[in-house]
Amino acid sequence: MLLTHRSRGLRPAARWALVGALGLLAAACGKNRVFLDVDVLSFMDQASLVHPYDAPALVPFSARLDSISVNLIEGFQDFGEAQSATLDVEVEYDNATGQGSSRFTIYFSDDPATTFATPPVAVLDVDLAPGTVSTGSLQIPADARVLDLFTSKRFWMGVDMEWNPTGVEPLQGTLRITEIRVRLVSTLDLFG
Amino acid sequence: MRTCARDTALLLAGGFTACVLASVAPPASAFTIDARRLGMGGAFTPRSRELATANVAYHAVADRPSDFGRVIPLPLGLVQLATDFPTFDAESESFDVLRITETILHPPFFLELTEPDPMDGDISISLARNAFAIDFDDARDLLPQEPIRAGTTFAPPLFGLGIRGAQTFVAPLLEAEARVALDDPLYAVLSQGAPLLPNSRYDFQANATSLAGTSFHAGWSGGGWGAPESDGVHVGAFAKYVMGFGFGTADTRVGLATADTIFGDEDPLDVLFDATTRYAPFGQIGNGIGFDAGVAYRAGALDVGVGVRDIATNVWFGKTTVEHSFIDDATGEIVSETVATDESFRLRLPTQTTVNLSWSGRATVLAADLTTSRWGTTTHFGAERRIGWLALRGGLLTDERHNLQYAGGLGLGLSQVWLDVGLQSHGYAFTEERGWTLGTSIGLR
Repeated sequence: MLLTHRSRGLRPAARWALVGALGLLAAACGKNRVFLDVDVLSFMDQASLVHPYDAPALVPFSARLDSISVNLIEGFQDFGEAQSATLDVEVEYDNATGQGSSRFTIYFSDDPATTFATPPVAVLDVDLAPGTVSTGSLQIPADARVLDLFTSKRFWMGVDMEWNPTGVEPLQGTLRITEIRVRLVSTLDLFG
Repeated sequence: MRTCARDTALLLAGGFTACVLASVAPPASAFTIDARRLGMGGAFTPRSRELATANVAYHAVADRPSDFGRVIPLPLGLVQLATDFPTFDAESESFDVLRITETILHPPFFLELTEPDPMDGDISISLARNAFAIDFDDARDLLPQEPIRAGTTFAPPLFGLGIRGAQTFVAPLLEAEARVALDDPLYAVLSQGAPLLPNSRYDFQANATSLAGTSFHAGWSGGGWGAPESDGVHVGAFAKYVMGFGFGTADTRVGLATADTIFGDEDPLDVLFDATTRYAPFGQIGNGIGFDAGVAYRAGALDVGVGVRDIATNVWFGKTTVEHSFIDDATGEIVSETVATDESFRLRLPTQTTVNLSWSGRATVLAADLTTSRWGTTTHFGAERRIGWLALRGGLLTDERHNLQYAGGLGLGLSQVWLDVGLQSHGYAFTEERGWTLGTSIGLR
């Protein structure tokens, strides 16, 4: 005799894996705080972390990275309630020539087609001077929309970069993205 | 209505709890309703009913003046439990899987004086495209690195008849056994916060068996053969007929296999799940026979005994149902198949050997015992000193994790009636903290 039945409503294996990893923490009382540290930068190609720029004098220059898929823990929202999140961004400009400013903008979205249409989650402005290495960084709290994204299975990140030369020399140098990290604080709620 | 993920969590939590529970399940000899024995580290004293279960030769050994003929427990822990019963409703705010587990592990027959750490510490999860790690301080040393096999048998005689050494009695039978094993990589991930690595495999295996039924014992115990004060060799041998009313086994293997990229665009992990369960449907009664035997020697104040229970004890079930569960590669769903409904199965109960040694002086009792089986070995040491109407007691024991535990107690005697209070430490299941149990009972000599 061979009778087969499928378990009611169970989801794909990938879900089981990561849900299982959290489930093994059932030894916890179910009311613990969970700190989820996501190294968003690690989802970017190494080549896209370094961007040489060359903006002619007084002519703005911009570049855009295609939406980048960031895969997270499937089912995380079923185990905890997100309380807050902090976004850390750091970029470094090794500016060879020219005077001006730069803007580094990050977008997060649940749809790769509308990533750049969503409100930016971080805008980082840095002044550039010739022969100077300038570092720009920020740490900002994330809003409710971003909280939801970080408890989902996947979201997309978009990056816009702009340079605005203000002097008579062309603005030349190299941009390195050194950190994009999100720290999410949630309350574990396995049984609630 | 619960979400699927919550059901999954409950399933995993339950499985994990069961495994931890099984890995630290106390052997039958650790549980006592006698506060005197509790205060003596759980050591068997001669002629105790619990010793007669472990060594049937003691059915024939005469009482000593220091022995209690009957113990009336005062289960204050049940009062404590009744006034604050843990909820089993997972939706309730007060649902606490830790407390439920501890309640099962340490049946609250006596008063529990301490509470374990709630394990409400922070959990840190690090996630990158090719890395995933969980760091939970409270869980360090939680899981066993070595495979652990543990179990318990509870079969105290309920009632019986006897004449000139020949005896028969009936006993309930509860038997549970489990084995849990993590491979080294998975142990490191779960217990030490090590990251999952690409192209790696992580495995977990758990087996569990449980049986409920009753047993009918018939045999003979006797000895001494004319020696005064029950000195000399005593032997006992009993055959038993076992009826199994409920039976189930589960053999579960869970594996995780990572690919080149842990959080790539495809499934992050390949989950390998294979479970085989076997059970006897309601109404199917198992039958079996087995044997208990023991020898006890008394020379003055000295008692030595060796008892072996469940020798060649098997329970045969004519029809069992076997189910196989696995993950369907195509759909990712758990699929269960009933592969047999009338397969016979023979369950072998573990043989347990108990060695006891005691010295009973006019006012002092020293006792020690060791019980070993395929579940492991536990030891108990105890001492009692009576000063008039007062008895002072102390003891040491090794628990299921081979940690040393402590005991102490006192008794207040009035004529043939003693009020006994015992205190014994134990390790909590999850945190390995030391907890304390206070027991009270009345002994009648």
